[in-house]
Amino acid sequence: MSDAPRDTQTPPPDSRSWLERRVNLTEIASLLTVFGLLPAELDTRKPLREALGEALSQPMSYYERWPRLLGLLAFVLFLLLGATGILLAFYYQPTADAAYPSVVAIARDVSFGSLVHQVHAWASILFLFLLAFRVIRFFSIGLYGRGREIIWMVGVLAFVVATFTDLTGRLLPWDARGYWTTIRAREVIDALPLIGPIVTFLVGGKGLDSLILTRFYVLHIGGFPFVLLILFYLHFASIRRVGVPLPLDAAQKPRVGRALRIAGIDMILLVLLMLGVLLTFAIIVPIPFDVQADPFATPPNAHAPWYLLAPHAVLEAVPGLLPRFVRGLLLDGLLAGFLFLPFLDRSPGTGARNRAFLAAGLALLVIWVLLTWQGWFLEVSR
Amino acid sequence: MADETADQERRGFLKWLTAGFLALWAPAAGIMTASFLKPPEHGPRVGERMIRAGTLSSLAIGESRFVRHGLEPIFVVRLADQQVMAVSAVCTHMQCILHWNRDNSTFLCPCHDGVFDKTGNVLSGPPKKPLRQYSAEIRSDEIVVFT
Repeated sequence: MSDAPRDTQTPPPDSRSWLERRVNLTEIASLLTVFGLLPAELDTRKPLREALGEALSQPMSYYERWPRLLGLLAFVLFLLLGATGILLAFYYQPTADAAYPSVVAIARDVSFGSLVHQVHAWASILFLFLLAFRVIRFFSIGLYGRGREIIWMVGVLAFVVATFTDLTGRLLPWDARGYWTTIRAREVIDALPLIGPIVTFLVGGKGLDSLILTRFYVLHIGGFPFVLLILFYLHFASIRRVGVPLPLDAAQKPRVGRALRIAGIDMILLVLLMLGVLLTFAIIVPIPFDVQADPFATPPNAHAPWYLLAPHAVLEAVPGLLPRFVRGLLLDGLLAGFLFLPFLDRSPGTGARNRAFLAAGLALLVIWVLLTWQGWFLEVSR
Repeated sequence: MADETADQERRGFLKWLTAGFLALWAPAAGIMTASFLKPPEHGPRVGERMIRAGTLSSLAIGESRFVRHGLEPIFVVRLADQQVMAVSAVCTHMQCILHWNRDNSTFLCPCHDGVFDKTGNVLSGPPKKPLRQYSAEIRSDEIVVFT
């Protein structure tokens, strides 16, 4: 006993790989679950292969593949936007003088530069639409009360933060359209009480100069994406606590299969399909570049981005009806009401009160679309 | 029984095929990323390759003149009446910028005391390689250096 080294007791036969004995691979892989990319939870005490096999052969209702779809595709797009954004940042120079030439150099001189840029641009469009569509879906089937308050609020906030990310990204090329879109957008945002001053504080002033471009750049590549990542994390954490909502017939008589078959393979196919669509759009319908921004010459059809057209119409249409400040307060109240909807509508999910909220929401959506059209028209007619 | 094994074989083959197809995305993305990151050629244009280095008459014989060209520092030395020479002012040891020592017509490195003669050869100190030379010529009274 005394002359033997202390730990020569024969260890139990270890089936784990060299790496697995040093790093908890299962814990690393469980990050996929944390961000919703894997439908089942992993047991981090077990080796990766065993935990994966166990998780993916768990029974799962066939219905469950669909509710996860929008959030998952949005998160995959977020990752893609991050990857292409990092690539673009290798060449982009965030100063008023150098920004436009550097973006032109990316699109013209760098191999695959135009493709990376176009994929980034199209992915941002798709990302916003997916997040908006998700909120509309949650609303239309009443998925916001009864334990889902956080999912709802995170969904709305994710859309709002994503629009800010989109907005800050539009200025970066410093081309005429991006520049004047930003001018219009800031006009709208500055008119909103509370939100306007906060945004002005964040970007460091009211004008648009090189220093403000740098702020836009930092917010675009660091600040807002970080907030989005936290929101995604919160969303999936809450989903794992609350579970996927099942309609009554699916909950009572679930058609059950293996999780791998239901969630895994379908997800891979859908992600590939989405990437294919994205690449197709990026190549066939490239978003054209405008000329370099000239702060002393406004192009004829500058307008705010699509998500700000309706607020723009609310602020500008029918002058003399309401003071601008009251209109701004109205928009702020609308956003707050939407964000805290689960605490306004405390109905159990059915009944007259719920139907009233649904009708009001649909009416609001129609009005919003009309106002968007009006906001577009306001600029074009000038 | 035989059918079952054939079925399994087919299934295994399809699995392999699918995995292979999915795996193709990785090298494609890798190659695209690598070629994206390779900086595009941005060599100087023809006009930028010619540096005007001042007049010949203002440079005494045996004297040197420091010329800045973009990020390239260059020394122009007048060796004889109608003979000029241009050498890089970057020490070949650790990229320090050289000083002209007027007293004995040498280039002195401020970092590690490397010494070069006026044509760029190493006289003493840690540097091993001579200074890079540029072609220089005299056009009427102007010294022109080509990079």
